[in-house]
Amino acid sequence: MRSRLRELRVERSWSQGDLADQLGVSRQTINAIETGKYDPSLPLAFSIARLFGASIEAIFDPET
Amino acid sequence: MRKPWQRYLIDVGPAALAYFATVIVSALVSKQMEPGVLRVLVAALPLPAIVWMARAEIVRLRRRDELRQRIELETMTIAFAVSFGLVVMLAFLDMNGAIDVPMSVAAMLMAACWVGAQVWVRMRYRYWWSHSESEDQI
Repeated sequence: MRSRLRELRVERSWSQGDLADQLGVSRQTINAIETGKYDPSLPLAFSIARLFGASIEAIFDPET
Repeated sequence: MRKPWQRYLIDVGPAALAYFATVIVSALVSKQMEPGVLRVLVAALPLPAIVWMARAEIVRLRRRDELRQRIELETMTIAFAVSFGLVVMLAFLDMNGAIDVPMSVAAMLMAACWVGAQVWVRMRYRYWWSHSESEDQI
């Protein structure tokens, strides 16, 4: 699944570690989501959306 | 913050110690006993410790963040599927007299499949052992 996570993170000058700390996950999880290797669970997707003040659909886009 | 090995010792250490102790006692005592129900019970002494270890590992896994949980579950699934297939194949070959395989090979095969699955899944997610465990506790 594609996501704008890296783009949104960089806009705020956050490192992967910073973002991971705020979401309560590991830095490796953030890296895996950004590289499309891992799709977040629904609770995590909601946490990400809430953190960036955007909808889940605005951040994540299933690949066609 | 505790080092990863210290955390592991606290989480799984007591159960592992109980397992090793009961295996040793069971092996030594059951050898001296006459065949029968009591000998079977003594041989089964490690079972509660095995259940305790399994529970400790599950509790430990639930404390991991979701990617680490996914890695462990994928590893277990792949390792079980592959090792089960291999063990059944070896059992058939052994039954047909094609090869002579001791039962201990099954345990080693399962362990090898688990290690192989760990490497394969971690490569997929780029989640190496050098990564600090302190980062993936939730």
